[in-house]
Amino acid sequence: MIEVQNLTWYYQSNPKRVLDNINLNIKQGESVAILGPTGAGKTTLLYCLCGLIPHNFAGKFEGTVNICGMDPRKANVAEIARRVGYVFEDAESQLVLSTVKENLLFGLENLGLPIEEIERRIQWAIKKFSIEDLLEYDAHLLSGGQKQKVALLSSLVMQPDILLLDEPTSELDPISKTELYKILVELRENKDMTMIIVEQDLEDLPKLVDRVILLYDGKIIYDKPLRAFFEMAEEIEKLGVRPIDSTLIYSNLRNEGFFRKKLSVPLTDDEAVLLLQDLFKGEKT
Amino acid sequence: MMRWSWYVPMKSGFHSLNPVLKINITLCIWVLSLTFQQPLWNGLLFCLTCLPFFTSRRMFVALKEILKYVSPIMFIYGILWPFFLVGGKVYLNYHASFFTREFTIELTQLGISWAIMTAFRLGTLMVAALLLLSFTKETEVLYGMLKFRIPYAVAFVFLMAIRLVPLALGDIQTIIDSRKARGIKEEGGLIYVMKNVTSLMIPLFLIFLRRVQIISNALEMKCFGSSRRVTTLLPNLSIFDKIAISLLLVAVALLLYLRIHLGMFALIPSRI
Repeated sequence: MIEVQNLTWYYQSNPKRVLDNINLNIKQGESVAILGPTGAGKTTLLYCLCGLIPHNFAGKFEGTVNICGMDPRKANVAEIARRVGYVFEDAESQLVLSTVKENLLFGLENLGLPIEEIERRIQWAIKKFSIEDLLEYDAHLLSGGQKQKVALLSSLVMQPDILLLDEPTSELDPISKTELYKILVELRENKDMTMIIVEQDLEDLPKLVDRVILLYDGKIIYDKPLRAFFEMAEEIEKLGVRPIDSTLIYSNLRNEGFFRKKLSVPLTDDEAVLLLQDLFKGEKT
Repeated sequence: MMRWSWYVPMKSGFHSLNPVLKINITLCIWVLSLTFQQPLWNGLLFCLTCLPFFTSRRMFVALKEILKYVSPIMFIYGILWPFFLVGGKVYLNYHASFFTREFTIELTQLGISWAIMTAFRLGTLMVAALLLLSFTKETEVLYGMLKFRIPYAVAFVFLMAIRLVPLALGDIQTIIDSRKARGIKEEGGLIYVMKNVTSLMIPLFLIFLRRVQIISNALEMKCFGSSRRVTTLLPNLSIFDKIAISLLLVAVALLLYLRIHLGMFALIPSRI
């Protein structure tokens, strides 16, 4: 679905390599998180995966990228956007028209779908995400969470094969964040869609992804399955990414000698509670 | 909260008109403001253009906001014109010399009348545009423009451009507020803005560029510019709309005839 080989990218204004020899292979239906400190090149990598780089940014592109059989240097962004959806960090900028319905329609109309198909997809969004009451609302007057939900839906109705999410929860309050993750987890159940998410706050991530890539200074440092990645909580923290709290607690307790036997790292609150319950029962494992 | 649009959402008779009719009304006002050439007629047209804003308190507040930006431009225009056009009764005649060069400044009846007329004309052009945008959602303007067979990409770029104006005004306010928070005294209204134009414009320009970049990326990721586009929300014209548009066009054609062939409503009939 996505193949990246020896990808290197320099912005014209900066002689430093923002992406440095990236090699990546993502299969259909995979759900992948890209993590890294600020300036690691996460957003730049997403831009390369949807064609915004090299089309909309000046710079030097080396290596090859293959997205659903398309080369972003040859295919234009609109062509790639038929297969790849992008949810930006800034929800406001994605809402290009007034009402929620108009914003949902915008992408569908651009795809040139038959009017019956457009109507069918709008009805699907209404049913699936209970947005009937919001349809005629001014999208710019919605709460941050609702705006991001509309931005996500306006990508989803276009039925992309690949969905790229660039810190979609960074401007959301905890409740809105949980709601958005609920939608994403539901989508995850549809194994046809490939999902790549860039995220800073990792607490909800285990519900969503099964593979994690850590970028640092434009290079891929780790590319591991979810649990194997969080086994290295201390190393991750040293690279400027705050791991999930439960993995840090587990790591500290293990260093203190509480767990003699090798256990799997708890990734959710429930798993952490179970582990601590066992510990407090005196059943040293 | 940052204001992102000129549109004032509420229910009123003018709000409920078909966007195509509202665009026609605006175009007719523009044509008439360029046709009329007398302070009385242009002043009357200016007042008529402002009239829909008096239908409710909220719209009146919107008009006050609009005039806050429009009136200084009208004022500057009105002050400058008398010095460039002379004729008729002379109210002031002043001879001066600057180094070796001698010149005369004259304030005449024609100059003053022309200045008032052009100030009203300019005001009408701007208020009419904002009348349309205050009473019509941007998207309705967009779909209305498509009815005029304007290409979608052109109409959409126009929509984006008018949307960026209130955003830029909001950005200026944010920059001024952040300067105040750093202890800079911000007083003096327009004169202050003119004096501090560089230090305001640089951050405004950078914010503007970033905003345009983000919006253009978002548009491209929604397949904007695709050649196969369909449009689902085009407004249909009712019989009332068709009659109203026809009457408007006939009235404007008649007034144009009177102006061009009979020289009515004009200070200098041979000139626009």
